[in-house]
Amino acid sequence: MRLNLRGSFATIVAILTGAVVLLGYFLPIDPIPSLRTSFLTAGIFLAAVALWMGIINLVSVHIDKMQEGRINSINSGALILFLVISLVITLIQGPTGEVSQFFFNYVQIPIETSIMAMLTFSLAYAIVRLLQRRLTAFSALFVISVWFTLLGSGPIFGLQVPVPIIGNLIKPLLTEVLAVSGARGILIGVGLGTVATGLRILIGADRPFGG
Amino acid sequence: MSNPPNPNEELPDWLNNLNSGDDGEDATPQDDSSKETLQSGLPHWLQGNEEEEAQAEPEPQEEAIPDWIKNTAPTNVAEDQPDAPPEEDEDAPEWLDNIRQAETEAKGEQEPDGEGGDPDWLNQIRDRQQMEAPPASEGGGEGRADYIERIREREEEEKQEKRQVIQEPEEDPGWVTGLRDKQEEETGSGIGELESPTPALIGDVDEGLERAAAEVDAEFPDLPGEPAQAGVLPPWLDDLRSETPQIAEIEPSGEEKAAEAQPAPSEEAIDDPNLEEADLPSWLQAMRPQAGETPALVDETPEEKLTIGPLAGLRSVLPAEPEIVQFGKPPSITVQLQSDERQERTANLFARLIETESRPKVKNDPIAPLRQGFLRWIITGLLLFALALPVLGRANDTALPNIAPSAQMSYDLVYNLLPGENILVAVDYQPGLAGEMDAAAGAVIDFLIIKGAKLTFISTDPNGPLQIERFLRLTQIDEHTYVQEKEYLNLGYLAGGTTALAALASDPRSAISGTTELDDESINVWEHPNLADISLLSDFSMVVVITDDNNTARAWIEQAGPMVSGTDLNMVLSAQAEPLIRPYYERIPRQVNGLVAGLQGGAFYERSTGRDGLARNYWDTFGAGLTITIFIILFGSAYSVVSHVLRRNRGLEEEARR
Repeated sequence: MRLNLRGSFATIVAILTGAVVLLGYFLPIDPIPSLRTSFLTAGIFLAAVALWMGIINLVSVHIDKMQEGRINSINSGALILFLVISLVITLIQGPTGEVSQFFFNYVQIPIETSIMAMLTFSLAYAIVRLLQRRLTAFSALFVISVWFTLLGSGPIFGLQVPVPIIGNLIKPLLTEVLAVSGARGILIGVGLGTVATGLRILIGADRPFGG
Repeated sequence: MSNPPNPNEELPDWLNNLNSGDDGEDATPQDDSSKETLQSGLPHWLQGNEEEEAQAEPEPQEEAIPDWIKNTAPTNVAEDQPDAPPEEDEDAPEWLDNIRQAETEAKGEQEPDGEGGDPDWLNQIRDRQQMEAPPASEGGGEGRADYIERIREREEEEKQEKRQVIQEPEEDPGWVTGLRDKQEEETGSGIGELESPTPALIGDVDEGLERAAAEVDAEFPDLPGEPAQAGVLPPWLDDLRSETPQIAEIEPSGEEKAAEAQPAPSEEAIDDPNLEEADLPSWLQAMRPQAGETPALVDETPEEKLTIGPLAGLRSVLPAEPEIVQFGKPPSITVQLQSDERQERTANLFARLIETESRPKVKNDPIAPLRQGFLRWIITGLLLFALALPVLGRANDTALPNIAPSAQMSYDLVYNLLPGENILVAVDYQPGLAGEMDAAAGAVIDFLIIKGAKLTFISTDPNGPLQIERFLRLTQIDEHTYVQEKEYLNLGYLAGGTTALAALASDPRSAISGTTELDDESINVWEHPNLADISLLSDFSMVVVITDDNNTARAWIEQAGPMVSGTDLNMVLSAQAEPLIRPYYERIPRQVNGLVAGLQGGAFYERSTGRDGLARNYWDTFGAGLTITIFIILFGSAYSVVSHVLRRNRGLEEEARR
């Protein structure tokens, strides 16, 4: 029988690391906290390396696209060009240099904000068409909830918020009772799933790292 | 070298029947020569009946032969077309062609030039037979006795010729020589090696014949002929013994031996005109060939040439069993589902569904795209008009909100700070939501600066460092003249997400490293005045998290929250992230001590601090946009409901009309 030493080693390392980090929350007894800090610091370093690996992979993919001569190869060229420019500028001026600030304030922010503003028109049009395409009880309930929530979220015709009854009663009922209860249920589910996943990794039943 | 006789004439009738299939000669009754040859081998007392039956009913025999037998029966090439080479079956193997060719060559050597290709001696015999043949009108015992006498004389002559052949065994006929040479070439051994067992075979045949004759005599004592004596064979058996050297390689079966062993009537008995015809027993009459039958061909059925299958054209092969192997077109099998009415209805429905899916949709309403486009432009125009009015009017007269409990808690936390306390601010929002987040967090940061807090910024987003600088320049620089590296510290991007937050919470000095400029000197960030007294995250007086993502906010709450006991966690969230984070705020004890959500939270904060900021500038436009959106949804939904109902009613009417 052939043993997978590499996989076994990875499993042992993962279980020991997770156990030390978990114990660090409950047993602040040396050397567990220091070991936990060392593991977490190493994790930060590895995450930074992974970010660099991602950047290198991104560059290689777009270089391949350029070499293949596809129609969108000019976009790949633009991406690589500005990535190199940003890298050089950041290396020279630092992450908060003037040139970097210029590109960020006058290129990235307007573009991303405009895309987000487009969402306003799309959502307004979609909710109008919703009842035309699918007139069901849940669709009507959804539209009514949105309508009352918006009605209690801001000034209507210059009236001071909150609008009487709606702002004081209906809107808090929707956002602070119904929405919060639903969100709490989601959070509990997420917490249970996280605990289950962590335990599976700690006992070696789940090995996302291989082995 | 004398002309050898036809081998078929020298063989007994049962061997002639076997050889007729092998030699490819046609043994059908219409061939007179072959028929006579067959009759010559029969006992004399049977030949008379054969003659009468053949003369009486010659035609039905020919008609009784099925066509498939005619097709499969070999043609007598040597007799019909003596000069032409025998037809070679294209499907026959090469070795069979070689043997046939050798036989043909051997026959060619034997056959002198003459009419019909037959040897002279055979032609002479035929001539004699034709001359000696009784006239068709002649019948009765007297004429038949003369005819039998002539046959006997002819047989005597033939016996003399055969004896000459036996006395000269070294002179093999040409066809035997050809076969021997051919086999010697192929196997290296000659036929001569097979001649050694011949005497033994002859002895066996003699013994068998004697036993058969004795049995026949014992069962039919009244049968005319010579008495069977031990060791003394009748002349016709001598004739057969003289023929055995030619057929030594073929040993007849027991039944055939018995049939041959029947004693032939003596010459005196045959010549006696007063002799009565013997009463044949029933079993012998049953064996007698009936009119129209071709017993020789029936026995040859297993050796017929296959006409179908991969072995077509070959002889002496086992035919494929028709139950197992069927050649030709298989029978057509009708595929018909056995289903009930419900299954058929479901299948038809499914078939129509598939057909509908593959069919391109026909737009019944050609103006529908125009109507949808018109609706989009109406919504866009209304929104732009509503948003443009406050911007163009610069009124800013809409009252700010005065009630926001969670934001009030955040304001109280900041309000209770002492001057010079260290505050950690996490800026973790995307540039796309900068409009909302800047307005929501501006008042909080402004109030912190007003309170004289030492701000240290950090981000878990790669855009964080630039976002921090932009945010401070946009919201605070003009008011408070906070300068980087002096009044506030930007630690930049902290890679690692949740793991980095856990590391930062447990040991900030290990998680964060780097240098910064202070008074034109490069120093370690932990030597900066804002961090000089910080070794744990709980050493900060307050942690403010500004984020638009509920997952990021949750990570800060879950990872850093347990490590900042005694330190307030104040959050500024977008309106979309508030519902998922509010449970942490409403929990007792609170995991989130203060919560400012969206533009409304920022407006309340500005109202609380009495300082107009971004929230104030956005508030009127926000209100106008919100109002027009509410009306669009209201009237648009009403229009959609009416349209849907009208379309459904129209569809129902059309369906009822159909």
